[in-house]
Amino acid sequence: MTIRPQSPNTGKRKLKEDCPRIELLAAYAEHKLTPEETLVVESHLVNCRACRRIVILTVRNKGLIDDLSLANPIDS
Amino acid sequence: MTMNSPQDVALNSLAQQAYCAAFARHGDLDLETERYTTHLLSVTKKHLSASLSEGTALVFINKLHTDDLYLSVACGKPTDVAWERFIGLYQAFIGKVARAVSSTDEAAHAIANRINGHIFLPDGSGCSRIASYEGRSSLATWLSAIINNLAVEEQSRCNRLEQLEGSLEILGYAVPHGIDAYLRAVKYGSVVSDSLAVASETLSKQERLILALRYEDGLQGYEIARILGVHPSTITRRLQLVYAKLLVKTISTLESKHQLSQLAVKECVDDLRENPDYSILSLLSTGT
Repeated sequence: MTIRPQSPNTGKRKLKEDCPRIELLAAYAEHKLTPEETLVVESHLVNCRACRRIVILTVRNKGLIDDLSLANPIDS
Repeated sequence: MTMNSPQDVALNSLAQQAYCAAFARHGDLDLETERYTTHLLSVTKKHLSASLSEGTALVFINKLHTDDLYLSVACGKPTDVAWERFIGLYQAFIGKVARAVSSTDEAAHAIANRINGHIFLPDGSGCSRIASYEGRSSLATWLSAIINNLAVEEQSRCNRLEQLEGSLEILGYAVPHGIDAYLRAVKYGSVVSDSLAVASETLSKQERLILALRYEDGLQGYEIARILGVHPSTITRRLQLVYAKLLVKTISTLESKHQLSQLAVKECVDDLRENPDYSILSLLSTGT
């Protein structure tokens, strides 16, 4: 079954709703949230394209983040 | 939790260990132990609140990026030596991330310049943004998310959000639209839409998120897998399951709620497969 995407500006979804703090989105991108927090964030992400975009870009930047960690290893 | 409880003693001890480890990594950033431990314990109490016990607090603190927290608290104080350390570690990284999320060098440069002001200058509360970092993700990921947020806001402002064109189709057959398809849509459109909406209510939040990432954001399965922290094959299976759930529940609703005959149900399913007006994306905004 093949599904082609539709223009996103249909329905009643707003671009930005009651968005979670950046700290939560960053922690979500690293899979550091509790199951309860994950459910809350994912429920928000379903209807908020802006926050989804932030998470998508943050995950895509993981390569740059890993390079930074390699360049500055933890000494202790 | 009283200041002299055994829990407090254990947590303070752990906080001081974290301070020493961070000091060993970053050096003396002119940050007092008490300021650091107070912030660390404040973050712990904020997120655990009613379920705060020594065990849960220790687990929570051990998962924090306490080295990064040391740097951020020092930057938030602020101290010049902390600024220098931060710039030395992250300035190039900020530039690379800004370039990765910007369409032009100029836009990347603008975002990178905004970041320093954005995180170091005080906001309405009088505290700098970097002081709000809590260590639940790495400081690099936190910075990346902030840069991405600025980039998304900039794109929104310039009306340059990428739009996905076209209508949604479920292509089972390469049947061109004609008068028969039009009449079928007129006859069954409302019941099919209603049945699809009922079917969508059976989807979980994560299933809806997978659909949004796949069909609104245009992500491939492996990218969705990275975001959700699962294997790509899991996403493939989940999507197939979602399609099956939607189809089964839609058929069930057509039969039970709308009392359609088997022949009529078949016509509805054909319409569902061939009619581009049925949007899976519109289903995401329905249901709880």
